[in-house]
Amino acid sequence: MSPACAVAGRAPGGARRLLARVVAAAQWAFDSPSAEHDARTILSSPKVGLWLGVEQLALLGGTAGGVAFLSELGHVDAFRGSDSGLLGTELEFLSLALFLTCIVPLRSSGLIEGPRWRGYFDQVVTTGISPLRYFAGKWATSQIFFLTLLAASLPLVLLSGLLFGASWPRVAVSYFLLYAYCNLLLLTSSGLAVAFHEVVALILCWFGFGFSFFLGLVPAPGTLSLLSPARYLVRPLAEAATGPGTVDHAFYASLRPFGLDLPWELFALAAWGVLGAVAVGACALGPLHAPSPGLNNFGALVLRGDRKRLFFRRHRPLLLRRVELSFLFENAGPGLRRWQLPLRALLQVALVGLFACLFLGACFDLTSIEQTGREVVLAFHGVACSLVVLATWAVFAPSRLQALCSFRLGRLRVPAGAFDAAGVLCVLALVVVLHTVGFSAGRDALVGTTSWWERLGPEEACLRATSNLGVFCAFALWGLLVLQSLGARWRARWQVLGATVLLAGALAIVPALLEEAVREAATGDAPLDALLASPLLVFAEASPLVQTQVDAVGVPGLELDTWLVRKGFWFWQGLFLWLLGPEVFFLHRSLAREAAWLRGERSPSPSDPACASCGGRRWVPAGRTSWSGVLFSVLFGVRRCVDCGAFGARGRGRVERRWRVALGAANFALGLGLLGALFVYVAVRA
Amino acid sequence: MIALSGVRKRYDALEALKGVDLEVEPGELLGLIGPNGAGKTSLLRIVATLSKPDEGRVRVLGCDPNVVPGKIRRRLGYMPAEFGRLPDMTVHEYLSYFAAAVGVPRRERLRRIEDVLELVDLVERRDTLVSAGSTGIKQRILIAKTLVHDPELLVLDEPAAGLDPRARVEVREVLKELNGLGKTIVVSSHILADLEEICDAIAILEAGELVARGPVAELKARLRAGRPRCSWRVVLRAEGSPSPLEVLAEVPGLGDLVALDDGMRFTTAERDANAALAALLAAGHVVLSFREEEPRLEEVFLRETEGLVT
Repeated sequence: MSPACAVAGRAPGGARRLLARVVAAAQWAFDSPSAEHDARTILSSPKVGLWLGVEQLALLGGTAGGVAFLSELGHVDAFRGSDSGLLGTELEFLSLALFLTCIVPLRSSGLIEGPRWRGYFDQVVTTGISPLRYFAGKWATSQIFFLTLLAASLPLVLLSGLLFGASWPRVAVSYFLLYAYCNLLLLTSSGLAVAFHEVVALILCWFGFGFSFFLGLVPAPGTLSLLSPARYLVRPLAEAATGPGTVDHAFYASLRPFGLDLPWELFALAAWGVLGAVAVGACALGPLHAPSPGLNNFGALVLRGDRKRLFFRRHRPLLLRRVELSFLFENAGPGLRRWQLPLRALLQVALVGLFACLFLGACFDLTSIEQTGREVVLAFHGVACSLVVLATWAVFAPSRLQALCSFRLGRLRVPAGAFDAAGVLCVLALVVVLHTVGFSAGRDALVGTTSWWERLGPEEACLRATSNLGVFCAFALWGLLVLQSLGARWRARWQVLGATVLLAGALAIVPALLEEAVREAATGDAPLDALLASPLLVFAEASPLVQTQVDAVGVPGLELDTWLVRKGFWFWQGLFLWLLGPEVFFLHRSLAREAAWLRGERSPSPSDPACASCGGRRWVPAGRTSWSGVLFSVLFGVRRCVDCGAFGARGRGRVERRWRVALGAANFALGLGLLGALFVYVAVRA
Repeated sequence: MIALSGVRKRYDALEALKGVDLEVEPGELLGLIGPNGAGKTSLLRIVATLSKPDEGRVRVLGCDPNVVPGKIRRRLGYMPAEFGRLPDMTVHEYLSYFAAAVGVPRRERLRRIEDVLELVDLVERRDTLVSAGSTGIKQRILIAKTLVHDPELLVLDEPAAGLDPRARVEVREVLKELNGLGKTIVVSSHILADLEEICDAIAILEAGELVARGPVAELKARLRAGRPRCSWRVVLRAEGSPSPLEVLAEVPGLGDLVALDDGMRFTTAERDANAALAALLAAGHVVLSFREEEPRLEEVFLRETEGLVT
């Protein structure tokens, strides 16, 4: 009889089968070789001593620092008698949470004990081990690690509680939350390490959970800090310190995401569950690219056409691990591979939906907050929209490697680019609903309505919100087009992510900061001011930050509402789409063709000319439009050799340098002409 | 067992494999030789499903690596050229790690590990640290790791690299034994003498192209047929006069005459060999043996390759 059956045999009735399954799953996880390996690296006595020593120092330091900070603010006096025990235990738990936020991603993202660094990953891959079993082993061993860390904090918590008094049920709930939080950190960092390089994953993890931890401490809507237990731990301290009736107290005391009166812990565990499930999905499905023939993991990582590139762009160390990982994910079961398209879609929608709910849900928690607090929350709404767009881009903007990937849907092959585009539309639809409801609710709350759902009719505010949202979505779409265009050229996802951040900064945040100055210039007496300011104002008004501000649009005098923002903005949108749309289309068509070559689904035709450099006959169309729209892509279209990356003429395409220079000059002239026309138009109207 | 057809592999400007066609039959022990940069490791990694060819068809163990790589991996044992480091593991723990990874049931693991340790003669070192072993020990541990799930096909990349003569002999014996057990083995090596002794067939790669492939004897015969002069070895007792060296120096058409402790070595056309033997006998020397020396694998290799590097 197996141990699983033996344990299950002692259980009564219907629980027997379930228990047997749980025991069998635990056995399966602990039987993973990575469990054995991790146990050896984590639980060796010197390392355990080191971890526990650092933990004790962090707890003592954190608690002392917290007391000193509160003392500095003059809040320590609020904790007397049994409340002093509360202060001690909560500060220790807060220190422990911060310690775990730093340590768990550091360990679990593989930064310290990454198998790649030890040079045996190929051997692991050739064993045929499934990725889920590999990660299950890491998860199983980490449970021992977490329990050790939590148990090591017990003496300090017990000492503090026994000497000064504590609410023991609360201590138990806190430990449970911290244990769940450890698992959330572990799963998220592992999932991120699958999608990104370990260092990037670690930074993202620290930034994300650190930001949530910070928001949990400061007076901000509680929904925002749902990804960290900080708000739960700090709430009794903050309530005691701030006293009732203040805005800060209202922020700490109230947590009603979407207006629902439910415990914060339930919302937190639900959000953690969604994020954890997405991370498990990432660990099971792997990065969104298949090991195509052009993806090499032998020696220096090079791809076709690299010799045509500059020296510093040839080396892409950050790609190496992802390529190796994709070979590991070939070991996933056939069922998982067959269902990966809907599963990936579900995970992506769940992830972006989660962020949308976290940020936009904060806007519903308004009724119990004073006027000032409401304005803070509503102002934050614009930031939330920007962050949702950022998250959407981060999830859906593909790198070149990703664009080469495709899914099989029956007999149909779905390119990852099309999959991404469909995903964006779904997410934007979700954001549209949440944004409309949230904005309407925010405005209603400002004018004193008690519940948001009572005012969802076709009110002026709701119409305004929906109208602004059209601008917002257009902004999101063309931003995505830019990233799709860049992603088709760039091979590393971190480059696309970097561009995402830059784009968000340049087109969402900077114009918003400039908006006041631009508005003043646009409404100034001097015609020149208006002339210079108008195109900038279009960008400023296009920023989601501005769009979602209360009464941001509508300056008397220039009637910006009626023609500049509406027509001017849509003019720019149309221009961008005309320029970017064909670029994205041609680039992705080229990538699809290249992927077909690499998968061996096409064979060279004798009519194809031989490449002058390598003699190959495998060509892909290369628009080389440089964001110049349909016209120039036809006139200047060239093709690129798949084997060596050399360019050749296609149709009327011109490959000579002078033609490229002419194309650039034509683009520049076109841009100048359009700007000039707009200036003239604005001047005439002004 | 393995069928490659028109396999090409390129790393940027470097074309590592240029349309290689190769078949390996079940139970065959194929030696893959070639100069540095010939494409041996690229070829082995493609067979081991760790790399994808740019062009061409690959079938390993009857399966397409692009479609079911996991299925192939479970039936294949791959030994890389470099020993992957694992921290603080004993030999037994190291083997247990990989046995668990390939899915050997827990109750069978101990027996399998003992079997492979015995096969590679490492039973006594089972509880010593992997990192403490010499290069030869590590190579044997790697071979043991490769065998722990009893694979049908073994792909070994330079298993004798860095080994001393004794360790090389031991590895050679292990490979022979495995081949005797019916395993199909593809092994690459720079040490041609080792391969010559154990391999059923040899494939020679140069600059990404397969320049020769066939049984060792056939390749040697091809070399012998192609050259005008043969090398002859005489073992004799010098009892006559003048000395054997002086006798053979008088025979027309002989070259590369070398006196050895127990006889002579020289080259000549096949038809002139009889004249040399007759001269020695006529001078009163006792000829104990007179035979044509077989060409060595090095000679085959040097003849087939031109020293090209990709």
